[in-house]
Amino acid sequence: MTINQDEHISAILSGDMKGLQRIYDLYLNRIARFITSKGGNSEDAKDIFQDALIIVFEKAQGPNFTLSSQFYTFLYGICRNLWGNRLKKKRTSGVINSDDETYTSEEDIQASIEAEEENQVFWDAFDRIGEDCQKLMHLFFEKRRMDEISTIMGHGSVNYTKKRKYKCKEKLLDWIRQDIRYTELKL
Amino acid sequence: MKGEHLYEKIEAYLSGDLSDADHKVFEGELAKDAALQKEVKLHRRLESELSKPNKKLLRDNLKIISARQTINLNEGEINPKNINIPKSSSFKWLPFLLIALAFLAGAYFLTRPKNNTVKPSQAPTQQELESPNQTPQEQTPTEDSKRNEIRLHQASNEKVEKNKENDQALIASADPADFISNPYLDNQIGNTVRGESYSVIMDKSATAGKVALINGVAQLRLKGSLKTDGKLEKDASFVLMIYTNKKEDYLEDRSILNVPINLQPLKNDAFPFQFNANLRITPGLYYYMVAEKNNDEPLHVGKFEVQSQGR
Repeated sequence: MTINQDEHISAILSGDMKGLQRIYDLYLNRIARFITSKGGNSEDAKDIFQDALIIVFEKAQGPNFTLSSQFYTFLYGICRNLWGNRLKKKRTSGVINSDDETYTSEEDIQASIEAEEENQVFWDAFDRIGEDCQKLMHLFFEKRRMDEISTIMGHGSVNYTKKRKYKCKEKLLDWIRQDIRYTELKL
Repeated sequence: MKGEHLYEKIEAYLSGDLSDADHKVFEGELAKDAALQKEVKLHRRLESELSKPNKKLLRDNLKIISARQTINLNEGEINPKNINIPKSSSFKWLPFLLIALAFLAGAYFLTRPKNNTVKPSQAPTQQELESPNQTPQEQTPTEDSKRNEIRLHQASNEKVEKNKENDQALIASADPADFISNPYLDNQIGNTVRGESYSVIMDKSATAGKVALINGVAQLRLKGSLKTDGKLEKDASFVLMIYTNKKEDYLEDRSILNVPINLQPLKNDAFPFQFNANLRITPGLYYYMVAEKNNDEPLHVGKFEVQSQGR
């Protein structure tokens, strides 16, 4: 089994479907065994796995990022911390009553997890604005010109596209402001 | 200023598209309007997050893959007969590496910090392992084996029993006599999981199923071998951990013992190892786990019952 560890990172950074599928095929079951052995279920495992890959994406974008361990070890560390955090939250909400959390957590992984939790507020809002708005906003954030966006979206005029963009952005920001996590955002 | 006009102003400000004069005016407004400051920050944060190249694509693709993925918790288990290991002749350098590894493991063992779950007053520090190559001793503890007893960490705040003979702390760890299985560990029993490139096969003949407790000492004899798919990673080292049967001890990573495993030189396509220890523990059900040191995912899980003599 020879895996070029950097291939996994490249797949994550480029969002490459085939490469991502390979990561799932290679590692999801192993992470799931860990999560289920620690009180979670298969769905928890999938959630944690997905969140962990996004954190890998964020970390890999850092200018000084190098993979200092095996990819799996790196991924496993993130999953372990994510699951530890989730258990902690369940406990504080009274779902599980147990002793103090003793998961060891690496500080920089924790920092990445927290940052990603904040980012999630924006993506959750994005997920709620409807496909048409998503497409338009995505083009807008890609810094495409308004006339280009108008053509791609099949709008009759640039003015109409501007109006739509405003409406979509307003929806997006409304969802963010309504999110209970909004007040905790470090703005 | 509000609505569409405000949004356009903020966007132009953030992208540096305002004229010098407008920029100045806007900054003046910003300075005296906290709500506007917050609004600008929100727009900036929204844009910086949602414009990350490929992040949307990554999220979309992960959702698609995740939705169609089914989990098979047994996949990755290895049938020992199916493992093909390259012949040892291609690994002439391995003995040297193993000596270095053994040395490092020994150094680690001597210098490693105390497990932070141990209460100093309750857990003696002396830990000695018999030599891995030593012939297993008779089932009656000898003077030597008494000296070699491993004093385990106290896993939780259960009572500590005193050894009447030498009055040194005995670490009672399992719930005495309850012998109740820990479902989390039971699910992993016998799983010989392929790690990044390792798997562990335990030698059935030497795997402790039931261990008699004689004079407060349980002699645990474990024997197995580590198989690789061709190489040992440079920094690979392995540990053996022992857990009580208590669910919370496992869930919260409180092993009562965590020691390096010394691998012996490559033999029959695998690296054999032995773990011989005299454990001062109370009767009960215990689990052992072989794992890679920097990645405590179990490579192998097994269990043993410690029973009072005559039980």
